[in-house]
Amino acid sequence: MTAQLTDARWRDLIQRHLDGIASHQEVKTLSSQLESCSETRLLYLRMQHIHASLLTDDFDEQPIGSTEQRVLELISHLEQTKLTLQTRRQLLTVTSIAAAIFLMVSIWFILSNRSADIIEVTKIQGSVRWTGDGGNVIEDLRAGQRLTGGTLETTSVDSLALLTFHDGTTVSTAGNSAVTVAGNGQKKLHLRSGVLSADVQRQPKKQPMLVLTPTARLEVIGTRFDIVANADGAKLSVREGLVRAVRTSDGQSVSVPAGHSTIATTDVENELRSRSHNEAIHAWTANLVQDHKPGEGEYVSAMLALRLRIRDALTNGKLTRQQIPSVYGPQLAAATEADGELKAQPKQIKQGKFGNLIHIASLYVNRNQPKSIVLTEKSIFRVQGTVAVKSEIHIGIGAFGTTRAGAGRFLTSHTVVGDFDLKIPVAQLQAFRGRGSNGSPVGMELFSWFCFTSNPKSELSISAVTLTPALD
Amino acid sequence: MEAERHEEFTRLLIQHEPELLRCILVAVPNRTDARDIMQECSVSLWSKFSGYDSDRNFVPWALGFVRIEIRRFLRKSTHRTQLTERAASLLLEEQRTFAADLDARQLHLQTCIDQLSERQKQVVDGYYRMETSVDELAQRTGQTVDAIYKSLQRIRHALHDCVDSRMRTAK
Repeated sequence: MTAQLTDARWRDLIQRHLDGIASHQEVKTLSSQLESCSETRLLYLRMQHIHASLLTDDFDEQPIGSTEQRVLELISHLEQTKLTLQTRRQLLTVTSIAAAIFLMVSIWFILSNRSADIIEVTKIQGSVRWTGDGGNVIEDLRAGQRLTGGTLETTSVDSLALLTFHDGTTVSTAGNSAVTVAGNGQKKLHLRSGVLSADVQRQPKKQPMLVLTPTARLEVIGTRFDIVANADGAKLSVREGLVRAVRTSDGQSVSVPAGHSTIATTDVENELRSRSHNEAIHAWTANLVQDHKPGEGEYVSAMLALRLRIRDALTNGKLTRQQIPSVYGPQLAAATEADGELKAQPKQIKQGKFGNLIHIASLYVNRNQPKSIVLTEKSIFRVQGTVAVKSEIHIGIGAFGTTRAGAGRFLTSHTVVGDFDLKIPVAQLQAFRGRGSNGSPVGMELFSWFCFTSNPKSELSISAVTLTPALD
Repeated sequence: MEAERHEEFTRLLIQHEPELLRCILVAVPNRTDARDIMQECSVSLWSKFSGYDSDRNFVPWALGFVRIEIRRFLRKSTHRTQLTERAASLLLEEQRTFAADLDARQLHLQTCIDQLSERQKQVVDGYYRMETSVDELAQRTGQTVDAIYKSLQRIRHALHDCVDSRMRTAK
């Protein structure tokens, strides 16, 4: 046997070695080849990986969270090995045996006393509600609190919750999001709506962490990713590792590696694809009809908005019926073809720097478009709208992280009166809430936009939002 | 304080044992041998745990002990022919280099296993999950021992090609 064997022959030889049936000479030849050829080493690693994965299946099958079974298994291994070791007892010191027994007892004692909680609250901001599996509701979650399964709702624009599983896996959710957490062995998260960022420790391959949304299922072995979802679709953006996304409607799946994203909607006509963030675009124009978030802004057509404005002017005595044609004539004519506007809706939030009642209009950004919108240093938001009285408005965005940072929220504030047309360089947006928010959203992927005010008399409405790569 | 260290060690060991075992299997593919090494490592890790800095990643620290135990095993192993220490060492190094590639392959592997025929799944279940010996599998199925080995090799070959193909498609 020589080093001139073909790949197929090397593969056969590697397999014989893995099965323990290669001859002494064959193993010697294989070792020599492995020492000198990196391609054979890669081939060996790939073949061995299949062998090892199948072999360690029993190790991975037991969920890390299922502590008692896991401990029994470990003790069983220890005992089996102890029997093997009896044949070569002289190699083990008394100290080692004592340590092994001490370890077994410690493991059993510690884990048998562990409670059934599956997650720990690491950080809480703003208004957050936890409904446990038993139906008990907790509205004053605190860091350090341990929880069993249940549903977490971050109920306002300034809300944030960061949770940590026993194995160090962290998930965070912000804004208006609802996620149900279950972790009896296999971790399962049901993201009904909103945004979720996860930093997942390596999971048993037979029991990957599952993230379920109304339109997609994600299978996660160990990775970092962000997902935003609602009833119509889910957009996944992977920062590290690999996530398998399955479209619920037709079962089509795609593997999404780091630096890529995918969108799963109920529409099965489009192929489910993983797209590189390098294919990102840097411009966006909001479609107020399709993109607004339910409960955070009411879309009204231009005609209806104008009629409401005229009605208010008439009611307030600022306008007479005779003046309507002269004051609003051109606008009425144009309104039939004009875009509508998004009227901010009132929303209760936890008492904080913005009070406990805000009026907010929110948009999903390019939810159903496959390409990511990435913010650059020169990105400019143009925001047009109107307020009835002088008001301070707060304009913000939610952005997915990069490999360096998780999802975050960014905000800027302006005082406006009447119709306004603001041009906001992205540098003006400062970190507001969120894990990994590092001051600037440059380089991050835009997923939501919002504008709110605490002034109850503002009658804030938004007529256009665009993002351009730079000023014209 | 001592109890906390026990709990920390237990948690880390349970969490990372599969990863450490897979590492051992790179150099020592026989499952019984690999588990023996894993056990020796567990004892070593516990005895040295007082020197472990909790701020550091556990796996790289533990892998140092794994390598020592593998080397010790390869030197003394007489009942089975093993790879040379140098070949094993290079494989362990490159396993880290190709970790991302292997992780990606892992994700496709389950899909490929699902695509195996029922007969192939029975062989995999028998040999890998039930840990039935090849001799016994041969007796049960009325095949020769050589045929069972060939069967296992064909299955792994098919899985390798399937994962390759899915990796290419994913790109």
